[in-house]
Amino acid sequence: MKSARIGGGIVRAVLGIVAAAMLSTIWGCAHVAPYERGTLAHPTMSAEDPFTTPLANHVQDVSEGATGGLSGGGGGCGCN
Amino acid sequence: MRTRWRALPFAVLGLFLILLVPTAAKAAGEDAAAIKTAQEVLEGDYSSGNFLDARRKLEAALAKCAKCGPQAQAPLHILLGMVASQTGQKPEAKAQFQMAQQADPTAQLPPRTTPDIRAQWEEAKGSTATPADGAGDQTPAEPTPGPQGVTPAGHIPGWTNVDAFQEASAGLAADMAGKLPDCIEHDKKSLELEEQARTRLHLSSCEARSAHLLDGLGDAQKALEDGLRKRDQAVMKVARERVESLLRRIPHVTFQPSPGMEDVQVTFDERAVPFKALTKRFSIDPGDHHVHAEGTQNGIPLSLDAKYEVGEGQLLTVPLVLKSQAPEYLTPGQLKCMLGAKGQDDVIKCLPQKSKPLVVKAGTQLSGYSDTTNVEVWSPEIDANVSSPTQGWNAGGHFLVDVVTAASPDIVSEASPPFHEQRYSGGLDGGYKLGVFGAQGQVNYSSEPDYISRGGGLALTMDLDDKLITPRVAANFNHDSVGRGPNNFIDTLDTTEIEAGVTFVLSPTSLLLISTTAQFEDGDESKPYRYVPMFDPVNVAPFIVPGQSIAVVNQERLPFRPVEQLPRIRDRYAVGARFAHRFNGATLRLEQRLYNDSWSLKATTTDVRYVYDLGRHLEVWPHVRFNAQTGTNFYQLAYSATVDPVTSQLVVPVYRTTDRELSPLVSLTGGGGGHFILSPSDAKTQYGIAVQADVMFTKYFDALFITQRTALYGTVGFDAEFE
Repeated sequence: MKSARIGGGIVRAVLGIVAAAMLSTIWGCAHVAPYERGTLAHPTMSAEDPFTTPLANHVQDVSEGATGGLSGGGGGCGCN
Repeated sequence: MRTRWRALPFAVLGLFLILLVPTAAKAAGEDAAAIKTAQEVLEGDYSSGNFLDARRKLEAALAKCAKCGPQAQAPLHILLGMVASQTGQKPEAKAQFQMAQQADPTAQLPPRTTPDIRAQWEEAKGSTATPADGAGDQTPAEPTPGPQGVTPAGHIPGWTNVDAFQEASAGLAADMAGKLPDCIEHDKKSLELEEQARTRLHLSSCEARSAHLLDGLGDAQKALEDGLRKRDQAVMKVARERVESLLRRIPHVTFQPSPGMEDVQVTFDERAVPFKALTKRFSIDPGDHHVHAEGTQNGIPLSLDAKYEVGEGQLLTVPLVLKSQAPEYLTPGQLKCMLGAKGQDDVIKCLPQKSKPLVVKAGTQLSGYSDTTNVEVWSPEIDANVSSPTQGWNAGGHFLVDVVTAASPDIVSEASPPFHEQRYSGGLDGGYKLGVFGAQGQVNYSSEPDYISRGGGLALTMDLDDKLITPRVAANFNHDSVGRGPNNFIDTLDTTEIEAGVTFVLSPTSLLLISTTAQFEDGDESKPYRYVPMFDPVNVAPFIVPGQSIAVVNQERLPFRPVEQLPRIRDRYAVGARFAHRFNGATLRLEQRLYNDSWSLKATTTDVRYVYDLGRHLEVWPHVRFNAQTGTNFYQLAYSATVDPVTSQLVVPVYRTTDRELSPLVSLTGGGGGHFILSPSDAKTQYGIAVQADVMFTKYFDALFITQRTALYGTVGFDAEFE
């Protein structure tokens, strides 16, 4: 039962990512040369969230019924 | 051979022309044209020292004047002789004077010509005149100038400095010989000794013809000022025309800084250009120019060297796209490393002088929370992280304490005293990157008297399309023990989260993260201390309103209160997008999340932050967050209990809660923060202070006791980074 739920969730997640990739293709990602990525290395340009403090995260978790979505943001952004 | 030159007083011009051409008024059209040309040349090119053009115009006029009367030809010859004399061509001067005298024996020089001209005029007259003429000449010859071009008394009319006069004469000679650099040099020397508007004009002419338009303009403007001061109409006319002409011919340059560029130093032909003035237009000379720029972006030294050829009247726009060091200074391995870099952090790894074998980051912060329901939290935290950019690994950890004091309406409604407890939480994380693949793991643990949470997770990343697209998948698992009272654990809650996301580099200044999470919860999330009031389904429940007071609820509720009970399974799905765009000196961050779960709670959350750089060491940001949600499918404002007609036992709803966060609500958060860097940008150890504060207002549409809540929370932090 539980594994079936998780499997379904993975399928949904994969479908979401495929949709995101298609969306990005539609928008069109310009080729950005490595030496042009200096701005992306700025601390404020992190794909993760460098601003929300642990307490603010906790406040949002307990004050809002929703969770997730961007909780694991990150990955590569051209700037580690 | 030195030549002599001096200014002419144009106040006597009319008299000169009358004496020179007494019949000019009766001349035919050609005669009139010749006389007019002579007058214009005398006023213009000759008086401003532009002898080349003067001679060309006079010769052209003479060629057209073959049928002119002798009185019309004589002035042209006289002026040609004067030009020749001024340019050191003594035989030519004498010949022209002779032709003038032969054409019109009554012709005379204009007054106050140079001693050389007068001497040569007299010499020509002697060669031309008959003995009787010579006997009849009662005008004594001017003294022959000495070797320095001065009168025996050492005085040159219109000049006070003999050397200045000689330098100016040398400048003219150089001009006629086509040696413009020498012309400029001699004229400058002359002007150092004595300021003469006509010398200044001649210098301007030589400079303009040497492509030094700016210098030519400056000298023409000085000559104009001098002419205005002395009311010298001829100088004013020529200088004004030259200034206007040069202003049209002068090219300009401007610069286009790249977004995010900081501390850039730009030189144009070795002259520094202030950073704040880069986008202005600067006047330059035509020809070849060199632009050099160097600066740092996020601590990375970059530079630009470019050459441009600019024509007259053009506007040169220089895009300041700084790049890393030139390949000739890199080893092949370093070059390969840099070409494969996906950002400046990677570039740093390739540069030996900027290598960071081990980077340590550490910070501490104190957070606080307080709201209008009498809940207060204090939370000190420390964290540290060590990474090796060259070897691709990192490790870190954090620890915090939550000190909670609560006397919320839920507690008060149950006549319970305010509670005070502490939660300890810590975690470790580490990661490793090998080629395009990366892995990051984490474990965490938190403990409070009646709740323990243990968790861990693993995330994998992969760089695609030259690192422009980076997908990430992650899985996290938490096992929580739920207790009622200290060390009395009565249930568990397991949470499995699957996460997938992709980060896209959209442009050099923007990126987009799209992510989705699926979270599966199994276990009891019910609060064992939370009791749910029950009401009579017919006489009371329909009349309970949102925000109903504690007193009314306690008065109207049924005598028993079952404990909260939530479904034991909850599947939560969310999809989110994070967009970041860097402007010149600012960053805009937008987040949007859509949420749905198996309890039918739907929500939308929008988060906006605009980070603005206030100088090199300070950045500040306003922050706004909006959240709106529906209630869960089992949430009710007033639950009802009924009596089973068969068993005569009370029947309560299977799922029941008074958790306001499961009810429909909207919340709006507004605030801001700032990060101040305490250290110089080139310091090995960087210190910073961060301050954040937010106010959150929540409106509850369907909750007991309260209809709204205002909370204030914030953090003060100190961070350090060193190698």
